[in-house]
Amino acid sequence: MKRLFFGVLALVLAGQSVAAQGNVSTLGFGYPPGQLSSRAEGAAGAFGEVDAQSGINPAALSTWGPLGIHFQYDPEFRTVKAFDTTENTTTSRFPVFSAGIPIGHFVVGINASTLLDQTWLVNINTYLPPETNDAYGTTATTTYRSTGGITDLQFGLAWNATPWLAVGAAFHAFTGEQQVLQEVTVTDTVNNRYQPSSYLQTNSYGGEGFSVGFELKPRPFLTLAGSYRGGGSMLIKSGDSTNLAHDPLPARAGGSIMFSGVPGVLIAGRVDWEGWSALNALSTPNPDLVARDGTGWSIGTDIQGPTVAGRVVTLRVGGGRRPLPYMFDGVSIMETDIGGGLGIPFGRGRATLDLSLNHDWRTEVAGVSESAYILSLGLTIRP
Amino acid sequence: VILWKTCVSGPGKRLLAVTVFTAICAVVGACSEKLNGGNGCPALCPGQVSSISDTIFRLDSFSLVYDTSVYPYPDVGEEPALLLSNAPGVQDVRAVVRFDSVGDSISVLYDSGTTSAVDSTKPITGIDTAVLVLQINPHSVKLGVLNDSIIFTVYDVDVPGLDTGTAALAALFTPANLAGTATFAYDSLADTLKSDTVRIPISPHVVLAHIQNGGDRNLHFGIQVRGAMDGDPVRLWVSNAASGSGPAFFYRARYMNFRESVDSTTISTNSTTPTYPPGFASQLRTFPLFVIGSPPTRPDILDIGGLPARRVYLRFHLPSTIVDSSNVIRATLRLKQIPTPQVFPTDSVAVWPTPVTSTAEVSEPAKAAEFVVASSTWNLDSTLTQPADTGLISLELSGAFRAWHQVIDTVVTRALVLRTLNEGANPVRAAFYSSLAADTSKRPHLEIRYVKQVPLALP
Repeated sequence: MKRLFFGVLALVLAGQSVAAQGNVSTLGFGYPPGQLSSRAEGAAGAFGEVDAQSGINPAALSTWGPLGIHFQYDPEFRTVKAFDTTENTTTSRFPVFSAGIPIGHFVVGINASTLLDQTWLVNINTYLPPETNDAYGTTATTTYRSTGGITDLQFGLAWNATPWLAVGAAFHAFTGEQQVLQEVTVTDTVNNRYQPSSYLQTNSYGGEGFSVGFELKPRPFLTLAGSYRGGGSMLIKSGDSTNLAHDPLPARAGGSIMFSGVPGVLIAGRVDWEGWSALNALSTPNPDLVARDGTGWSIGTDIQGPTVAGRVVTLRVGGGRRPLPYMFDGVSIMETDIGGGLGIPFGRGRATLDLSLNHDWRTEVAGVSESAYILSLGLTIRP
Repeated sequence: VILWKTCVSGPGKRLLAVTVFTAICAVVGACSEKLNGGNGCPALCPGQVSSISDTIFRLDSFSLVYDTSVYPYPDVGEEPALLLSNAPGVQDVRAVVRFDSVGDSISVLYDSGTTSAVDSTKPITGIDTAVLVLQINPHSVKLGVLNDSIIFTVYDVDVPGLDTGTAALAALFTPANLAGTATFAYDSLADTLKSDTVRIPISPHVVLAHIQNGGDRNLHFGIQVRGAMDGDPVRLWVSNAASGSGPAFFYRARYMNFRESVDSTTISTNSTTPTYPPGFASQLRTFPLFVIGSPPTRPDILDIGGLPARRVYLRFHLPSTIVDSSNVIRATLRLKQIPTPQVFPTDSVAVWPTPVTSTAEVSEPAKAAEFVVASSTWNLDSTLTQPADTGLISLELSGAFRAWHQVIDTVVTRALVLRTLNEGANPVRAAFYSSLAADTSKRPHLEIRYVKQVPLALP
């Protein structure tokens, strides 16, 4: 009944859906950066389940080490090709911030990571026919600019139960907002004839969830990890006043295996399932754009590399493929990724600079193809 | 055991350093976002169609609307300049300049009949020279093709108790009251590089008649211009008292039979009557007389400019769905012009839409039309028209709609005034069909192009 109410309300309030944003990756509720740290991104996410700075597995907090904080900057350089034209964009993201505090056999962790990024801009040109007495028509440019997204704020606790088992749990608060600025500008040769139009609409998000995970070392050279996030629901408000939707959040589950039998080398494989179809309940029905569940995978390696100025640099490389949340016009959108990176300690081991560069290809839909380079610069400081 | 650190040489380290440096540069370079998206539209933008709508209102379709001519503007004597115009039978605009309370005595500096100098005040017994000095605006001088010179004629129009009665004052412009006359070549008046001051000799007898033997000491001069060739039009502006450089009166007076004039005086305009309303006398230091060329107003015609100057007061009753709930990006008022014969057929006039800032408390159009501010306040611009032509003129009002957006009509009325510049000095009048015009197609129309707010649903 509640869902029916919100559904009817959404239809009443609905004008146009902001489902499609002129490119492949930010459809619907946006692009999921993956909640991965720079280190994990360097291996295409293969170490996501066992990486303390990534917001994936609360049990991975057990490997935080000394008290520290981590933050990162991930610009994406995207190329969209459609109808014989190419468009290049740059999107700035700060997708992960995390902190870990070890307390005996426990580690308390805070992690704020971008679940879905809704940064995009669309320009639509419309021919305006001449009005009475006008000699010519003109062109109006309608711009939709969206900023914001949904942030996953985690408060986690990991317990090193034994040398070969760690478990963890986290409470998730999903928060954030999307601001969509609608602007119309008209270029005209006559002064004062046209005025620009501007509307700002804000949707705010609030929700909660939980996650649990484990890290198991059945052998010294083998680590198995798994996690699950679920529960809770998301409340979406328009302008902090009108409830637009109140439905379950997408769940996710994943597992990985990591081999460390060769000194200086880590090799990992990861499988991750995302229950994105839950977004359909939060969305305005749209037969062209449907969220669907999907499973992705990645493999990668982490190798202790050369010594530069007395520092042991870590080299990473990996690749994988994962589903993006939506299928458009019946085509599931996948993202194929290869990446590499560096880890450079400095400050006598009190800080680490992680660099990674990933090249992604996304499934072509409706004649629109898209690829991107995502650069990640992460800094971990242990004061 | 793989120990890269033992196999990476100097060049490898440099390569690593370059890689890190390049990555950091790329990160810094990406600090500014560039989101010029939309390449995937319309295929990937099915919901984001244009939200621009067009609509046309005929002004009389509103349930409450004013479109009416109101006048006169400005108050008499507050014109930006004194207009002098003469097109026989078509337009006759004269001017009155007042020099009240002229002194009737002079200070005698020395007595040539004695050996010792004295300093005493003596009554004026003679005038050697009297000149009316006028400042001409060279840009305003217009003359018919037959003329090459302009004749200024000055009359004594001082009648106690007569202030602004146009007919009575005009009747005083007779040869019997002639005070002076002067002819000036067009080239000398219209040449901006030369002096723009004209001096018209005034009969000493006229001056003496007012300052001798208990005269009223008031000099009221009526000024009329005409072309040297009768029937040919002439028009010019003279600086008035309100402009700060108005007419002046110069005279050299003497006492008794002394051979030398003993005092030279230049006086500015001054008016002492009427005493009510307060301040009105000051307005009458210089003022125009619109003798011919002021047609009556009609309800089916919107008059702008002319003599005396008229304004059009427009008050709109607009749908809130457009003014408040939408953004108007263009609003154009279309007025159908009624050809108006002009003294100079090529005359044009700029019609200025002007913001009205009165509240709804001010309901009388003539009163509300005084609560105006500069057009630039609302980013409004003028439209130039030649009143002698027929056709449609367009006034862009989008700036006004922006000002009215989500401001209730009782706080700031959704009203505009259409006016000309130099009201009261510019004789050009433009006329348009009003909302009462018999032919509905000729009535004013408001064409609005607006953007509806698109309530963005969830993705």
